[in-house]
Amino acid sequence: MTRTHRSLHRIVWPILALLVVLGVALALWLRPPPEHARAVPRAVSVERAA
Amino acid sequence: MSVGLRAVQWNRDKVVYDAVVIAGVILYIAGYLAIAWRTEPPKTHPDAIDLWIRASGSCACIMLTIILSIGPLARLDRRFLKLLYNRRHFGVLAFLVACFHFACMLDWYISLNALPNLAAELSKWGDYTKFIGFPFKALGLAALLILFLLAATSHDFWLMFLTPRIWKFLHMLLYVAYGLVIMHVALGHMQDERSPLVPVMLLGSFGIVTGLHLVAGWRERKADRAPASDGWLTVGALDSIPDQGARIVTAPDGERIAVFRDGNQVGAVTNLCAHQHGPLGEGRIIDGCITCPWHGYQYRLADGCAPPPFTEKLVTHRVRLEGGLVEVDPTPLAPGTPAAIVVA
Repeated sequence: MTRTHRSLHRIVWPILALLVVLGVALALWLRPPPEHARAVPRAVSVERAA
Repeated sequence: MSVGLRAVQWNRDKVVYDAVVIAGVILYIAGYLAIAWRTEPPKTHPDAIDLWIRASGSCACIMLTIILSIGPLARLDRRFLKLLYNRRHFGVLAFLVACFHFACMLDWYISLNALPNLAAELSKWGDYTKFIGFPFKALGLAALLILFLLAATSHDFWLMFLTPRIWKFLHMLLYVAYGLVIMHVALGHMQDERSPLVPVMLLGSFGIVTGLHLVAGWRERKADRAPASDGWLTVGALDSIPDQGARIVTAPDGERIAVFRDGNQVGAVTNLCAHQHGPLGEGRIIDGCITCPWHGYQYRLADGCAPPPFTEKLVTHRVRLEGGLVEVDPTPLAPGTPAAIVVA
């Protein structure tokens, strides 16, 4: 790898890690409670979109 | 320079590699379906398709995790170089599995006579401003498009046409695709599935890949520090260079130079293989030629030229022996310039 590629790797991974960990943590934190998830099955969401 | 199209050069190693990966994919999907069918048999046809969606989606995700781990693993431990050899075929297969996942998803909509709803789902622009409720399928589609671009340009024709430098930048888009896939699962499947296994596996695989890249990058950082020098760089005593091996030194501009010894012949070339910028200095001299550890591309030590009929040439560097120490001139010579010396 060239020096530029190595430097880019060192910059990209910490940024990507931060964004993804933050995204997954938020998706976990904000996801609706199980009762709500069970009440709205996937098929219903398809019908609603129709 | 024109670039000709050459078919993929098959050999036994590639065939075995591909066979193992394909067998792994079939076994994983078959195993997933068998277990899921046994624990919770699908009641309807769309339920059965849903299992195929999950099996193929998780398979593609695992494949991406493995593909992205191979590079840093090979940098940390030479034993993983074997996995690097045919990584591009692995990547193309991951794209095909992702395509199958996409096809299963279309089939699910068709089985419910609801295909137009997919377009409606993707074009509800208001949902793009939400976090929970974001059209996660759009993230998957974006990742699939990136994988298509990478699979379509994976052949050596594109590598030569775009030059290794641009090709490698382009293929770094895989990191973006991986991030999109993780968010596709986090905002899609993870919202319905309450088992802690999903977030644990998702964060676990991403953590492994990120950790490996960070550790490999951190270790390489030390090697990137060039010694203060305004002229020739000291490599070390002649015996410090392993016979038919190399020592790598860093030039003041940060690029690396591989100084090889073959008996009493010493020569220096760039550390970048002309094929895919593999680390030549981690290779060996085989059949009298410097051999890249990644894909086996070979170059003569004397002048950095690939043996006929091949035409690749490496940048070379002048070397000298001063007071029993091998020194290298960091100023690069034109590719293919004879620069190796024979020491007594």
